[in-house]
Amino acid sequence: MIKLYYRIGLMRDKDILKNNLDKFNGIIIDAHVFETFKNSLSAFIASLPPSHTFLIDPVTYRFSIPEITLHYSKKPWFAKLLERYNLPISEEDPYLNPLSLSDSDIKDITDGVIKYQKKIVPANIQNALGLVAFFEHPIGTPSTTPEYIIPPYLIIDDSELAPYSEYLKFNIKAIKHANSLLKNSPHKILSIIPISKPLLLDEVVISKIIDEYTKVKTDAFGIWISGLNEITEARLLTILVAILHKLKESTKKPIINLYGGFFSLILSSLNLLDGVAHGIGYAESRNAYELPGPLGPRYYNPITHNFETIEGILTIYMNDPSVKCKCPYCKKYDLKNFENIANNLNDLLNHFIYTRTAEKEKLEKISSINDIISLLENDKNKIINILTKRKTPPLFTALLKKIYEPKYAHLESWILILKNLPPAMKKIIH
Amino acid sequence: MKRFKEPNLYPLISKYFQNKDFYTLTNFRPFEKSYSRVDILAVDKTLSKIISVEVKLNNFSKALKQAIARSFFSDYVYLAFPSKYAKTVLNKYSQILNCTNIGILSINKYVSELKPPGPSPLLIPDLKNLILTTIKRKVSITDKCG
Repeated sequence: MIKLYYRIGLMRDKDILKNNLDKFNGIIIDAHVFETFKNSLSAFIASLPPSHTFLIDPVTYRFSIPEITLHYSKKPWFAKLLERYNLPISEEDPYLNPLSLSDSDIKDITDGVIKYQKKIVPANIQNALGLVAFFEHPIGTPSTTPEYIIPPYLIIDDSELAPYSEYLKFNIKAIKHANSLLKNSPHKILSIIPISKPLLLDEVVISKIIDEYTKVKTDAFGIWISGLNEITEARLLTILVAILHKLKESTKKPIINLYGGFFSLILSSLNLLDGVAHGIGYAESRNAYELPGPLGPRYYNPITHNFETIEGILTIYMNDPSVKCKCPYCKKYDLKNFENIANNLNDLLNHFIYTRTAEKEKLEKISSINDIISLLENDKNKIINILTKRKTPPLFTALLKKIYEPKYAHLESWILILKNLPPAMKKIIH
Repeated sequence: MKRFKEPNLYPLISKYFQNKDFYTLTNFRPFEKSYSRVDILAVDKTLSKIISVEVKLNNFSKALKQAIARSFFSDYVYLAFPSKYAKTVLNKYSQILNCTNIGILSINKYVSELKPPGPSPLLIPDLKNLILTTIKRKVSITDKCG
């Protein structure tokens, strides 16, 4: 079974998820989001059925990238997490630099980060649980502790501050200390492997990083290639696949892609991943060095497994009305008023959740990699046929294919990656 | 002539279509939540014929991409360039312009039509009708405001 985690970055997300409990397995909340909306999110976690899990992402990397740290330093959560995580940040040292952190600093930070997830967050949920029991009928006994405890981590990169090896050392030391802290406890550890995209091109470095992670004691891994987008940088996915294969082969531990999309669902059906996390209609990739910007309405296109502008999807649906999405949320709008779905965020987001679940269920039923390839080929041909449906001279048709290539190029790349997988990786295990 | 900037050229083109008895809308969003905007949209007084104009100083391939996106809801589509570049485009890309039916406007002190457009081969009538409702609303507001 593919485990689907939704990241909660906006308060509207929890209301949408409450009505879709059967469509996900867990949630991931960034610590700064939890700190900001502590009561409301604790109440939400307390209201989840026991089958649903949660994770708190400590987002420690946000304290180690100068521009990002500076940007967030005035936010109320910044000072709170600074204190809770025992971060040695001051006016003189405004951000974490792995080169200047002693072993004792790393231990202190890990103590704070682990305590936050092991004690502080559960205490908040425990409090909320009393209120939920009072106001609502609890569905069961929800878990007040995270599914996994995540040790602190920094983005592994050759930055202006330090070479990649120093960030790697920090992460590994933090995992080791987390293990000693949680030695006799029932808590499980999820170690995050956060690699900056440019490093992917250095095979030796990647191999060293993965080797280090395979040696640590952990219950699961969370993979994050900062800046890697499954749609726009599909060529780099081959490297991700190789990383996952190596990690899986050597450790046999569950791996969750912390920011993934449809391609990650495919990798889950190939048993290279065990879970995929993303937001509702956002965060299918994340660049640690960029500040998240405001999101306009985007429609998830079930044919391309990617997001469209409202005029983009209208062009597609009006060119071929038979392909219009048949989910209950899209059904509310006929083609003549379909643009109004952009004014109803609830319908837009529910359509995404419905479609993502349908994609997941479809992949779970597939028993051969060739069927996945056929599915992608069908989708690619479908979108090309729709966009070149009008009778035009051959040169114009070729031009249309070229202009609209960004709509389907990722499907071609995904097909190629799947076709070139070594036979051992082509097994589908459900 | 003033240093060219795309929006500086809009009034000249609007005037060109207004003289031909068209309403014009600049920076027109086809839908309320659209990200993209049509530089100039001209619509005849019976509100039945849509002409889209994309204005660029250069970069034909970017302009062509935008023009093709407009072809799905416009009866006719023009690309407008400063006169020197407009002539280059006409010579260099005549085959593409002919097969796509995109017209070319040349801008100097005044606007002239270097190549008339043909009917859009991609037009989706339902999409055009949908956008006409937005246009009607905007035109009536513009009329009322003078």
